[in-house]
Amino acid sequence: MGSVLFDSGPRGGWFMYPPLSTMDEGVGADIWLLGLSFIEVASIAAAVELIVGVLKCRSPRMRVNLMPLYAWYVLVVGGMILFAFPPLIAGDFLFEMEKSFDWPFFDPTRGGDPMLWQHLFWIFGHPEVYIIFLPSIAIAAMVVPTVAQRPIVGYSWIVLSAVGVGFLSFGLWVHHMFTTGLPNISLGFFSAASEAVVIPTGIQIFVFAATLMVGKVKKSLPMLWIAGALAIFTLGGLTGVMLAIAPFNWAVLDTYFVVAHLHYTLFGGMIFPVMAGIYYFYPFFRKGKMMSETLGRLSFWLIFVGFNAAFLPMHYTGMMGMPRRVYTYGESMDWGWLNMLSTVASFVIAAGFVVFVFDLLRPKRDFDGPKRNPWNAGTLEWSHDVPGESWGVRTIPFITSRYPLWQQPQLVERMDAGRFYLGDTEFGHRETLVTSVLDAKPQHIQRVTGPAYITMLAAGFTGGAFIFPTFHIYVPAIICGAFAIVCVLYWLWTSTAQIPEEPMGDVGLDLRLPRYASGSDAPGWWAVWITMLGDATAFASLVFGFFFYWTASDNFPPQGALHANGAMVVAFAVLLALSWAATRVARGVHRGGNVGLGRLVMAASVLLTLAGGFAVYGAVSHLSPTSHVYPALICGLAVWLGAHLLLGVIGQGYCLARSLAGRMTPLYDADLHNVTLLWHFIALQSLVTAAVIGLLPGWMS
Amino acid sequence: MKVQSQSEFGTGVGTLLKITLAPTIWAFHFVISYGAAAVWCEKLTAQGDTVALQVWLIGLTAAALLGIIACGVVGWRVWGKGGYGADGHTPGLGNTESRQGFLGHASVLLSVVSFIAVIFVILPVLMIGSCT
Repeated sequence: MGSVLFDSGPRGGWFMYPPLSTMDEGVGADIWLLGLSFIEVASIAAAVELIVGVLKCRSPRMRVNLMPLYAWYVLVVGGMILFAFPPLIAGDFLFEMEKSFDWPFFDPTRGGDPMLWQHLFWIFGHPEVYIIFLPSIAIAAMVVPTVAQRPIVGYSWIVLSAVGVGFLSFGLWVHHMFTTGLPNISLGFFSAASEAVVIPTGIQIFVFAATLMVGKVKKSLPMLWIAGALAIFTLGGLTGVMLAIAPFNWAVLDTYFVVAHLHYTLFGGMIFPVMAGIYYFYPFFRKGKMMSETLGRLSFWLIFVGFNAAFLPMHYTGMMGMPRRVYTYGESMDWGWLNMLSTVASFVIAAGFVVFVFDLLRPKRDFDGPKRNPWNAGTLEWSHDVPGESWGVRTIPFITSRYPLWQQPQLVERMDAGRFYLGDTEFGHRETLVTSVLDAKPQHIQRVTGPAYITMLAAGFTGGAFIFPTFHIYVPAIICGAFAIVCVLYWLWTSTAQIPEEPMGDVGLDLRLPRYASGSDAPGWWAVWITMLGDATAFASLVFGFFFYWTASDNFPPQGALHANGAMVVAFAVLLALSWAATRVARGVHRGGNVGLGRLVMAASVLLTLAGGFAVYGAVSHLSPTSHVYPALICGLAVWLGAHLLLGVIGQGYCLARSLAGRMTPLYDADLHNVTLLWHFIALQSLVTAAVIGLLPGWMS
Repeated sequence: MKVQSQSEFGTGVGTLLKITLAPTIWAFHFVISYGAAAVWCEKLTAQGDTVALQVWLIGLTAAALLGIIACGVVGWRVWGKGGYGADGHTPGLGNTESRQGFLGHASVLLSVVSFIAVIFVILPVLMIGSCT
């Protein structure tokens, strides 16, 4: 955001359509991409954490039909991130290659096509709207039952709503591209899906209304904000239904009508629910403190009235034809007073936020009343201690209901008395329980890493590896990248998959569990799976680019073009398949107890990967990627594969080193399982790459 | 340790993912329809007529709808078996039958939404008889 102050904002608009943005000489586009890269990495890391957390780290016996609704929403959002962000990663990769090295992916004079960017951007962009919306509306799903003082009505309907939206939101992206000249039939598909997504989105609002109707509602600040959210979001949804109709969309495209629509959905779907969440969870984060009721009401009415006064008129200015992104217009247009109204009202919104921020930051006294569960909520987070302790919970309870604090008598007292799981730690480590996906059966004790500086260093160096190239400074960037890898490896080496003091441990309530897990029992294995699923999506987007150029152009691959070196393509496909096989064999041999042979095969896999990497280089080194999009895309796929081979060979070497250092044994071999899983994905990408650059061009021409 | 672990990934996630089978059918129906229309209009037809495309996509839609109905029926049977209760007070909410019943109920609901969404998506093919 700060780039705006230094005249280095993205001058091509926030969705950065080429060729305007790629031809912009300034650094703005690069800084925009930098921010986006951080968001992508962070979001995918968050998705991994959320999915593994929801599926594998629940309280014992908290079955999937008992999870808090918030968990359902973030599980769906995690899944959506895995399929929505990677296309943008692929797009960013192509964009930055064009901006920095002049590879012409979006340049029509050399066979490129700016439309590819629009597709990749909006395949991300529209699900992203719902990725913002779902966790926010999930707060409503937590607040509403508390306010109504009863369980939610229609738990499965909320799950239907979240999962349904998660799927359908991927069929909407072209409604941002209705005027780009796609066949009318194609527009129809996206129009239809955009209308269909209203059904699951609407259902959850009815569920909230039903819960409030049958409950005994206790008025509170969080509920006030939720009520405002539902009112505003419903209005935004109604204009969404209008905009999904292609002919109406053509009429109001790029007018203030769209500005009004998107603000109604985002204020109603995100800002207001998040404000509700801040008021609701404040006594949880600042134990014993509560935000002011009076200031909260004042803030709400300022923002609510200000918002409607600012954005409701924009529907009308848009209908009158006022375009977006202009700040001057003739007096005769007659929309001056409407704009003045919006301007004045936006200051009213700002005043509301000032009141809110003041209330948030001012020093507060402890409030009267029950401090642990001031709203009398039914969900487990309100079992927290006041004042807080240096652990999450004293013991991990056994859960048999959806609202344990209401439905399981004496639960908090028993938790406090340490009469559930993991009341103590035998060796003084941080530990938690890992449970099964469906029924949350306790499976093993997971040692959790503690706070460390090395992770901060890793983050700093990773930042450097992204920030320096933004300004075309490459040597420090490479050094930062190398140090980031070293830091991550150091952390992995010292903090993860450590061989336990005892194979089994007592977790309380007469249960003994293993202290180590490898393969698909280990959360790390799940994390690799989930990360690589996202990675595979990004790769699929690049391959989609290949087909896209073929359908969109009459001359792709161009006649007489140089192709990838066939012999080298075959060589890398074979070498990398062998490397995958060696990794898989090493895992089996090592598990079987033949450590020496296992190490030998691991060493062979490292050499095979290196040789494969050279063959990848040899396959494309004679091509000139700046001349045309066809060689550029082939080289792009090779660069992508090369980066993964670097990751893969580090993994193989790491396993070898762990074995040599005695930190990985036939019984405790989680690292090797995780790297094998990684290699399943890398091998698949190598073979697909070989097919795309080696075989497809022949079939296409 | 390993045999048990494989089954946990397969049965656990597999059972959970079953509720998404109907929307997944919608997704494939959507992608294939979109891809087929794009390739047909750009590469395979010169005049912009869509009769062959319509025939193929109607066939695809029939198959997708049958698949979704099957998901719904299977879900309905599973739902009916358990002691399902939406209010959270029903006795036996914390047992395997009620978990199964919940997943069945979710499958039925998602099948209904997917059924409607597939019909929505095929409408433009039926109503717009031309590529241009």
